[in-house]
Amino acid sequence: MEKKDITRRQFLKGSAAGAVGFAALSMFGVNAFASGEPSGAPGGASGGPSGFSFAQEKNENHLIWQIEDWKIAPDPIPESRITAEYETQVLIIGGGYAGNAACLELNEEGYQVIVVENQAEATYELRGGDEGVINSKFCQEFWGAPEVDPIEFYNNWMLNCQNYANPELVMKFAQNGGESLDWHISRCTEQQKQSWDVKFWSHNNEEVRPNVLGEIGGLKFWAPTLHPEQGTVYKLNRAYCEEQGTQYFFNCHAEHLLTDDSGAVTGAVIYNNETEEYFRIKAEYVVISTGGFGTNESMMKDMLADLYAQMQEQDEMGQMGADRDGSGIAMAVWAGAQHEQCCVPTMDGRQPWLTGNPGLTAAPGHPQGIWLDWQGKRFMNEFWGTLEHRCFPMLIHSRERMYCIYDDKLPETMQYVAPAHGSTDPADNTLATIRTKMDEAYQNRGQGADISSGEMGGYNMMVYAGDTVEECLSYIPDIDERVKANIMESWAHYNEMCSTGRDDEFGRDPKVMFPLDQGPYYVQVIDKQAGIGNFMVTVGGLWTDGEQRVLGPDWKPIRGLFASGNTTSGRFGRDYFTPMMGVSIGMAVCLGRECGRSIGKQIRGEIFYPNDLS
Amino acid sequence: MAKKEISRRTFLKGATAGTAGVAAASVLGVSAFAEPDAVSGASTALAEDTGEKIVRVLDGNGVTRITDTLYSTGTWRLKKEPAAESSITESLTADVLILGNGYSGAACALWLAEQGYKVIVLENQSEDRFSLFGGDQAVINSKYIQEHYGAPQIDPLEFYHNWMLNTNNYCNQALCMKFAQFSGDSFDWHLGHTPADVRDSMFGAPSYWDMEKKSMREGMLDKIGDLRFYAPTLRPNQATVAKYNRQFIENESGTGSRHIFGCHAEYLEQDADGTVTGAVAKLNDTGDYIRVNAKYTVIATGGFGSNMEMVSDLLPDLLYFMQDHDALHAQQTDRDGSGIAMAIQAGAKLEQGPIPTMDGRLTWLNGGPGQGGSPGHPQGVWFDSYGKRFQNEFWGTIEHRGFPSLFMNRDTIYCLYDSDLPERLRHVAPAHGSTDPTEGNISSWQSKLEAAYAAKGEVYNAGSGIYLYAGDTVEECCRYAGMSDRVKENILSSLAQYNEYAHAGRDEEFGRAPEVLFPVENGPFFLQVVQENALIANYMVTMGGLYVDGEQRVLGDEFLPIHGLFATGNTTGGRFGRDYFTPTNGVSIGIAVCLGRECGKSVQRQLEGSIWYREDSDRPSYIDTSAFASASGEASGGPS
Repeated sequence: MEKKDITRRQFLKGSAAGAVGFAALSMFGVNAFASGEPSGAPGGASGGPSGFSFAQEKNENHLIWQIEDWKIAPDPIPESRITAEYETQVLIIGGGYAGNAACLELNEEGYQVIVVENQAEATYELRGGDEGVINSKFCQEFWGAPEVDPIEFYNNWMLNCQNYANPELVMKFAQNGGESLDWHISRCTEQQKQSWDVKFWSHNNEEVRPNVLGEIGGLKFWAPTLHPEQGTVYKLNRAYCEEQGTQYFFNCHAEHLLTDDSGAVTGAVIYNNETEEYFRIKAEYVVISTGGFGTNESMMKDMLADLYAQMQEQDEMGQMGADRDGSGIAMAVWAGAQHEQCCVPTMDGRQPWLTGNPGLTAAPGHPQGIWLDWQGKRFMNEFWGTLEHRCFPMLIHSRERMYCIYDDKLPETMQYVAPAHGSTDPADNTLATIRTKMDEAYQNRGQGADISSGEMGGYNMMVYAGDTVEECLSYIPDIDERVKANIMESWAHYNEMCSTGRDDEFGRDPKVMFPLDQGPYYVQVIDKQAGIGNFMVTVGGLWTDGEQRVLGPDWKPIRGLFASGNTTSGRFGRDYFTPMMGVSIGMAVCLGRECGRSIGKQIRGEIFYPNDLS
Repeated sequence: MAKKEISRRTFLKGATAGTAGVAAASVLGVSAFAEPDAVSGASTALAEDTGEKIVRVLDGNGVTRITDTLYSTGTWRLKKEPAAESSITESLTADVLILGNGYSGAACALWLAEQGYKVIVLENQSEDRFSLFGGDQAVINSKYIQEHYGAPQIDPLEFYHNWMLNTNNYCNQALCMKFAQFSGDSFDWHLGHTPADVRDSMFGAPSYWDMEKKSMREGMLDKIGDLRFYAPTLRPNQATVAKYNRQFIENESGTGSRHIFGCHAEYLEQDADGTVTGAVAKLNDTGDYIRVNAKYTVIATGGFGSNMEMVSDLLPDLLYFMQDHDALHAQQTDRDGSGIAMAIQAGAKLEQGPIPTMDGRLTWLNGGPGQGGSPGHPQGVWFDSYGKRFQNEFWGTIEHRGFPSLFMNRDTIYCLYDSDLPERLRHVAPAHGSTDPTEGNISSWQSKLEAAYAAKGEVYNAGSGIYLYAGDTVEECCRYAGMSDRVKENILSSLAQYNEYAHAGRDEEFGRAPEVLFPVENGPFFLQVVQENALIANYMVTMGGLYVDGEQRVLGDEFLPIHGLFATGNTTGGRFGRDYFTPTNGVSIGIAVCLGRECGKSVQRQLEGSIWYREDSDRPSYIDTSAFASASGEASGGPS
């Protein structure tokens, strides 16, 4: 799919054009919500206030993707166009972490599997690599990872999502995550395993780096996270599955599910991207593991409406273009599946990364300092534990201008981080880089140092150094005197609170209330901070039960249909979060395997569907 | 207002009528779940878009189907036609105009009148029928409650932190901290105009509180898992308090302030710069309009729960979670949302994501509010229709306890208790909807269980919709309930597993806190069968809509305050979590009074110039927009 950025402005404009309802709304400056981008197709002009267009447009022979209402089932591919048919016990749609783990488990249990994968074999790749789990024997034995109480891990998880996750799935991850990692890498040699990196971990001492935080304000964190060479792991596991008879169809895209008269899922129709032919795969069970919908504009507009509405002028939606097309979620919905409504979590879409962009060493907005808004006032707990939920208050706060204040101790205080996704690993060279940047800023005192990163772009970040905070402020051009006064007062008040260890304003954890009292000082000015909406992947979609059976209209499982990985809801909170790095992949592998186990149970009759009951 | 229940079924039918979207769907050969004549009404649909449209669509072959929710565009968001000047019969002026005389609006008015400002309060209810909902006013650290009832001193930072954990950091931190820091003070202040003798005789015994020991009742929980709870909560005679406060505002403050009852604010007025300059309101009796000009306007009109168009638009997730037996807003206790609507029409940001409601996302398996005997006690074990445990029955926060049952079928839920239940019922948190473990309530449950056992073999109706099957063994209970063997086997094995966890003090399945992990093993046993649990979407009030900053200034474009406009109480978001929750019984009114007063303080700061709007700054714009434009131009390619 062609990569295309959508800024909120464009989105609003697009929405208003051509739909009477939206035109009316936009005249009054009301923000549109869950709206449609009219296509001008039949019904478009008089298409009703909701602006929905029901035209079907073909995009590279895939069904629909350009229409607004992705939930409307397309006509099935006509029989005449289907050139082949296959049969299997289990069809897995999507060969990512979750699908592959399900495949491996089913093979080990002796079941017959077909995997359909949209990527071509030659260019096939898996995203990311950190596989965060607790209680892996390998990590414990080789890296000295601690034994963690799975119930404690689980309860911390439920606290982070406020009881709004599927408790069975979360507990399976807590109980079986370590075992699933060991299982996942079991075909690798010891030498291979031992060559892999771990993060937030002092390699010499087999322990977490000094001062890395295991708990912030009641929320807990764990390390280390192993980064297996996932390509190697994949090859070895796939070779095993192929020996067992699993067929892999690469460069093939599932178009829609097949269902029988009772609504049970019986297979899928697949499109071969290369030969441009359709074929059918019949299966007793189908697993949808096609990942998120973060490159599907139509689905994003519908399912991430809250995120669109909270974007400010400078934000861009889905800028990374790193996600999948959501087709698995859509085809399940066509088959009657329940999908998450309103506020689907994303990986970092509701997080402006003021704490540091992933992959950048010089990260703006370190939580070790204090952050002030356009008025020069503190406005949030800079150091809320869960990094991905830390910046929620910014979703509803103007980000037109922000000030961050640090003192000269920053490289020391930066050692205090949780081992979470997007924290800066306080390795020595990282801290040295920060020191260098600070020194440069101090030397350029008077002009301010531009620390905007070319990669980041889009907004202006300057650091003004000075021997006193007042001096720093004096270098900032065009700053209102009242703002200055507020900044001075906020800073002094914060330092006072540090001396008592009680943040009476925003409840920051005393152990991360570092006084800002050692010059030189550094005031970072961030104008039009962007990043809301810029997620990696979406991490919700289909509701499943604890066996990962997709739930239908009556919230009972649809016979024959399972889903796992980022196509499913009920795993995270209001957004993704990381009590340890890499839980996305750790969970995908673990729950993918669990999905395989559940299918095994279903085949053997150990679990049943409601209408199996007498 | 006539009581009217809307089940999801009727909603489906009503909603599809006359909408163009459905008509268009049928053009493509998909058959909509709508009356045929409704489809033909498409051409007139625009004018009568009624909001929520839920359609079931079958594909051409009847093979696949979808059930889904299509949103309303929200015609309620459109600006109203101004009233004809000739119909505006009176013009008034004040320093501050307050729309709504509920808890928060009245508190805001009182503070400002005490500071010497002239306020005008417009209230939709007529004076003779004016009533305030509820009464429990939860706070921490009230001197009055400490002195008279022995309430403990609570660390406000601990209280705040617990609040933030309950909302997952997704609330307005400044407002929540104000509540933590100033709620006790606001309680004492709120009673300040009520004569001491009246005041001291108007409180009943506080619930959940042992007056002799000056502590929570024996066995009660101040902590479940990581979440904390506080008591006692007092219930002032709110009508009396309101009467004395109003007397002060109107007669004693010397500010010329006044209340106008039977008067419904219709829309805000703004000057050319968008600054809110007051409102136009309708007198319900005469139909005449009045205009009030004020330096600042405060919206405190409560929720939108009885405005079905707004509900359709703003609570899509809740409608979506309703199963066939659920009834929307059956209690009919909320307001019409007009204050939220007029702010949106004036350019305010609309709250996104799940807007919290009071108990709308709660199945009340643990007991319906106001019901003495409540189904689904968390002290037992709960099983789904397969007979398997499905959640932590005793998640701390009651209102968030039922979330896992939102996304599962609720046709049948089984709850199992043993003969220890009455004693176990002492272990509850002092939250909204818990059953107060008075000796009377405990012994009432003892009698119910005895009666159920006496009726062994038959179902026993314990009242309040509770049906119990008693038996000497669990197997016997299951047999009487007439379930299938596979479900029974699951219940027996799930229970055995649970009891193992209970003895080990570790719930390996759902992490239930050890302090409430009671074994269920002392016969006789009691199996409650909950059929078609039907309380999702049956909320009391909605609790969000407008975004405000830490000073309760309503946020507009780019999340900057709209000049002249404040909001407080249930019109504002950022106070609760995914739904309302009660670390102590009655925080809704506690926070309304406290933040109403804080809103008054903020209006005062604005009047006195100690807070200001960005545009008041001596620099017109912070941003060198030309520099920004080029920077964003470079960035638009994104990372490769």
